Amino acid sequence: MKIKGWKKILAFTYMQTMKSKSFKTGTIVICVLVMLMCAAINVVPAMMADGSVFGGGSGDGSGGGAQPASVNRLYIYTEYELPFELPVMEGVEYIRLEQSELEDKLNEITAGENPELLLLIRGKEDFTVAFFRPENEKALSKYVAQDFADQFTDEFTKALYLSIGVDEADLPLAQAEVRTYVQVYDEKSEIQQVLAILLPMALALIFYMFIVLYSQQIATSMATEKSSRVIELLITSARPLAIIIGKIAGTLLVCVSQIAIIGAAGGFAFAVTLPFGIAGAAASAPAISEMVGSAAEAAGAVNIGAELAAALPGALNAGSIIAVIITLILGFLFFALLAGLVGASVSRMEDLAGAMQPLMLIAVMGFMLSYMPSAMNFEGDMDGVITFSHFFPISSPFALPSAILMGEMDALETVIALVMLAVMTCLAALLTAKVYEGMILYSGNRLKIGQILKMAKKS
Amino acid sequence: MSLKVEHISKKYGDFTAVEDLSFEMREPGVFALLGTNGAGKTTSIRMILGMLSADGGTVTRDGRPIRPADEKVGYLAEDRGLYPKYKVIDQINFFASLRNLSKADTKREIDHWFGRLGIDEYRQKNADQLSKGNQQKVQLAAALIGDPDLIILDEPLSGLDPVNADLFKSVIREEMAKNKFIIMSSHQMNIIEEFCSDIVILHKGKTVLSGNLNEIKRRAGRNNLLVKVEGDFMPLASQCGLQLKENTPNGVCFTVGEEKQAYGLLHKMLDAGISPVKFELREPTLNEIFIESVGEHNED
Repeated sequence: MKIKGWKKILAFTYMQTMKSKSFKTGTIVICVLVMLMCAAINVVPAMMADGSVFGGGSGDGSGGGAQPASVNRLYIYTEYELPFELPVMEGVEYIRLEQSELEDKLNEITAGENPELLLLIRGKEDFTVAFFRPENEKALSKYVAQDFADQFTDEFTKALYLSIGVDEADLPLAQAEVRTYVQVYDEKSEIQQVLAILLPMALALIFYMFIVLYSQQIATSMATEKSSRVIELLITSARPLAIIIGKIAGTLLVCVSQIAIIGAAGGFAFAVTLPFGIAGAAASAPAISEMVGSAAEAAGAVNIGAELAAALPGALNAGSIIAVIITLILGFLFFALLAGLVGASVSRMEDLAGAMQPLMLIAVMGFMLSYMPSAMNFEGDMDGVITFSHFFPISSPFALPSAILMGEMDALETVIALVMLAVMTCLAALLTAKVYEGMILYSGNRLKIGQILKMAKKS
Repeated sequence: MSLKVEHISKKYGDFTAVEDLSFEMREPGVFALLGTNGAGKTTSIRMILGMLSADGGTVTRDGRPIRPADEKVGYLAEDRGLYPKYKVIDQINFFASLRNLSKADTKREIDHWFGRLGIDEYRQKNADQLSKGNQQKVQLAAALIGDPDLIILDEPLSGLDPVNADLFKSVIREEMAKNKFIIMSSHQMNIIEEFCSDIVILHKGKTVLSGNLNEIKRRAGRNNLLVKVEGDFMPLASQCGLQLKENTPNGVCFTVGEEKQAYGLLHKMLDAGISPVKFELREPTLNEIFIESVGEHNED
């Protein structure tokens, strides 16, 4: 058998790469970054919502340091006499104003250095409650003021309901908010629409990084074996085709292991920080951000994890996941086989960078073809290019995964795209099988593409 | 076992690397592949091992085409090759696994060879942390692990100090004693003479001389005369028709057409009362045969 011994080469490649310092260091660094990102997905929106980050209106501080001043005086002007008593806020002095005093007091508070607010209540039946705060935030933080205003408004509403005879026990029901939406069935929320742009870009970038990184590693490994002459010892025990297959399979396994390790680390960080996130948000998809609650909404907070889950409607199933895995394997094999050939075409390490340039150019073209249209497709005018990138084998390894996950491709389209990619991968394998044996012991100036094709024609 | 190389050739474009090389190893022993730099030795070895496909000709082992991956072949390449950043023990284990050795056999053989070659302490080191000589020992261990029947040693002693060269020689002798088929390529003719029974001399890809070394020497005859005496004997040598080859501190060397010329000189010296300190009529050395063979073809 021409490939006898490939499993041993796979095992050796896998073990040695996993044991290498560069792999360990790289994986640890990426894991730490991914864990921080995953934790941030949970924690940051929650912190934004409760104001502990970016100075949100908790009233107890904006990111640590000295306690900010709380409101100690409230100047009140009501346009009409209210049919109920204003709620009492603890530790706050109330001072009623006449209309004639209003403008002067507004100017005084705006320019003032004291933690004071001016409350303006308008309307007889519909009320408008406006608070005015000092311009100088050192006197009174806008978040503290907002927090105070929110609490006061809650108490104000409560007092209003009680004044018209609502029982205190019925207050939550009376205050329940009824929200109205007008939308097309199954329409994506704004967040989901943004994710529909970001997800393809992110996935394309991640897969591009992995494919390029590991293709480069295969080429370097091939060139190292040639330049260090280990290859001469290897081929006394294994056929050249077994060597390249074992090496590519081993590297693919390393790549999958690294993705799994990073994924597990990210998942762990996400799970651990979940209790610190916005609880229950995921359950209320798809219109997550609207339903999270006013605090989160007010702070512009979004539960990205839940939105991400919501952005993958129905397409996240076993079939689509298998299709994505097949895409990745075929894409990896396609670039890895070509990288192996490039590595075998040089005899000196210093020639490798130059030899890799055409392949890297092809990879960059494929990546850009999948990345740029997604980034520029705000009006839908890049749809044609996006569809092309799904089927073109150079770009499909980067474009297909997100398209499958986003449900943009039906089963038939997915199969056609995968077949096209598989055909190209088979052609790359055929070329490799034909010329690799002849190239493996070649020494001298690096072989040009024309020479390699001539070798393939001859053999 | 027998190894038969028949009319193998290899061309790279217009350049002929090896042309019509043939030889046969019927008996165990050491076969020498000699030649100047670029003569085609390494290309020949690669074709014999099946690493390179020959443009023409066949290499058979016991009558069937040789396939290196399926044979028990040990190869010590001229350009030493180890993974520089991997541990020595991992590499040897890997090479052993490629030769289908069981774990127990691998351990036993590693213990034997690392002990025999004195590299036990380097097991856990990366290859690039070893001296050139120790890397060469690791290479030899990698070549011999799995008890190969056919061993190919391309310049095995180059770059070794005398102590390690002796160690390598003793290992080669041990393998010879185990009736192994060994093909050796070297520029050190004294080493070849020490071990080899049959030789091929290549020059610019062509075979310029081949056969059993003793027969080649016998055919050449005892045509070298080394004489060391106190006093002037050169006029007597001229009278006998001897051609001066070289004058060294060890004596004066002549090329002899017939053996009786040498005996004539000895008679004349004794008659003249000149006693020789050294008088040696000998066959040519392999070095002399090599230089003469290559020189002749350079003139062509």
